[in-house]
Amino acid sequence: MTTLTVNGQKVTVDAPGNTPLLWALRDYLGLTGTKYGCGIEYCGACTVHIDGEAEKSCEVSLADAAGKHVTTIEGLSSALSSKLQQAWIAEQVPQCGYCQSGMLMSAAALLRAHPNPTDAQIDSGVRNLCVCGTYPRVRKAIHRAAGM
Amino acid sequence: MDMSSAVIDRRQFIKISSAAAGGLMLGISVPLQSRSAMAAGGSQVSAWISIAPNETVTIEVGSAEMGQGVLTSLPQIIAEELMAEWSKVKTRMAPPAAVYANPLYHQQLTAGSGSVRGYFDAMLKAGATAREMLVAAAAARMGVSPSECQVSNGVVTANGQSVTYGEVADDAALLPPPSNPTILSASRGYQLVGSSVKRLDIPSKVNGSAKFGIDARVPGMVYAAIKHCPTLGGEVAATPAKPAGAIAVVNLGNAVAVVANDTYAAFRLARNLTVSWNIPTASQNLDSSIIAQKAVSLMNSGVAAVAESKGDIGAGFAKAVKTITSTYSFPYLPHACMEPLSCTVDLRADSCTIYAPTQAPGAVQAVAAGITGLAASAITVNSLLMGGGLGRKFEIDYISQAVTIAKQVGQPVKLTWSREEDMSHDQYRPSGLVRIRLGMDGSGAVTSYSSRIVTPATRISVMARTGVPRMLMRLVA
Repeated sequence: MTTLTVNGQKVTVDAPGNTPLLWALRDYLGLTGTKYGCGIEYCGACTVHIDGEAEKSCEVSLADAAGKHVTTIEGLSSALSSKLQQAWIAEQVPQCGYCQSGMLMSAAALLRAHPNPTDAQIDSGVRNLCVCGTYPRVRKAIHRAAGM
Repeated sequence: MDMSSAVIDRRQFIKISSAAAGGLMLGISVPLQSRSAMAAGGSQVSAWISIAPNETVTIEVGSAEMGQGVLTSLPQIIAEELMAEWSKVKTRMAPPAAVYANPLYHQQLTAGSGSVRGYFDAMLKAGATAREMLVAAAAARMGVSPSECQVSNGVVTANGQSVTYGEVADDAALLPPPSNPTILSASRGYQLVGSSVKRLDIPSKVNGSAKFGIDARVPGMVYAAIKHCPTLGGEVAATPAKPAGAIAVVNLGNAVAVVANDTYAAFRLARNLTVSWNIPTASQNLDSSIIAQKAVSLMNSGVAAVAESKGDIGAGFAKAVKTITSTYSFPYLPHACMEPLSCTVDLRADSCTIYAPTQAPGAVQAVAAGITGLAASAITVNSLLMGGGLGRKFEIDYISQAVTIAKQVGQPVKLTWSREEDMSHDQYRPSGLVRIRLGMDGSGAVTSYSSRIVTPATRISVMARTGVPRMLMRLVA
């Protein structure tokens, strides 16, 4: 049994402590917005915020997340996040959309650290993999959100 | 669009009795009407269009969404002729049924960039048919003739009165569809088609509510992972014993599946499972260098089929003052969709409900019927969003595996391929070796060109795997 706070709610998960947070979220809590892409901390589809920091949830164990505050795409509801989501719609960023939850979580963390990021800061701060190739629109949408 | 329900309930089988030339249903069977009414909260004007009292227009899309935008483009074509209020349009993927077949392929298959060109005329006709039915119902309500009516954004007006689509959808659904509806855009031009509307699926893709195939959840389900034989053609020698922590181990012929309480446990148990395989002699020394050597040997001396020949190639090269010969090779490549393969199956004694990311819902239904022994009418296929398809998801290997596992374990199951299995057991884009010879005259003009290609003949193997007929393979591959 592991207790943590997910999207502002205290939850208890009855899964082995070595279960990656990704699978605790998806299989035990039904929060399927966080995606499985590679399982080796490479693609970023599983990015969530842990105590405010962007982390790849496939390589964080449930035990390590105990007592922490986890935010998933379903919980992105701050003013900053809603600007990002509006910008994502305005720039029509997603195609298949599978990587976009993680992309948005990375972008939200970037904007907290750099409210008005340069292209270089976006490129180095948002390293999520997108097979559809939405990168130019991701960059535009982040600039748009920064200007809102 | 509404892709946000956790598990889309389409268990009720849809019996399509007959379809008009334009793809519109003539005889709307009761189950289809009730399904749509339940799901959309409105009246089904045709197989394609339901309209709710709150004016929401729900449009069924015959193709599957994998990022190409078809959940928006096909509704745009229908709405062009329907003259509905675009902001009221919702969209969803249709279940497998003859009425939803792509007219280009005569099958419900999303492949070969064929959605808009295949469905275009049928969607215009579907929109026009429903519009004429709605206008007829509105005219009757207002006590005028349809010719006195004007339509704009889902509102029918005549002689100072007005009626909305939502108010008369019930009545319209009972009218016979016109056999030859007027395609208004043929004379007035397009208003919606050709404009860059916002994609209907995007809002659900920025807040985590979009449901992809891999996101399907069924109450009480267990989780399966797979371990394929590392060598092509190899088979399980003996079903391994069930490891501690597993619910079941299932022999799938060229692979074993491990079923567990969650995906991670299943992945880990499958990875650590020791399996003994029977490897056929022909595969024992199969590797990239042997394949490459064979390709070079065939390039140099293999008997080739001539695909196309024009003019006198020998004379052309004889005339050439300069000849360039260049050989290009390309490797086997996995599709590498961002969403690994997955399929969820809820198999009961008399029914089977499947949730999958699929480009070929009809093939899914057929393969499940074959494995379960149930009639196709007892197999419900829920097409969910695809995190990339790229042709990999009109294959049915992952579907047949999931159905076989569900049959063996006797409870709902979700099969997820790990990324490692997804990359190493793809139906790969075939390798190829191409030699191009170009002859030029003194001014640099091309006098002759030849291209000799060595590549596996994939159509035959794809047809054997998927049941896609030969005619179709010419169109999509």
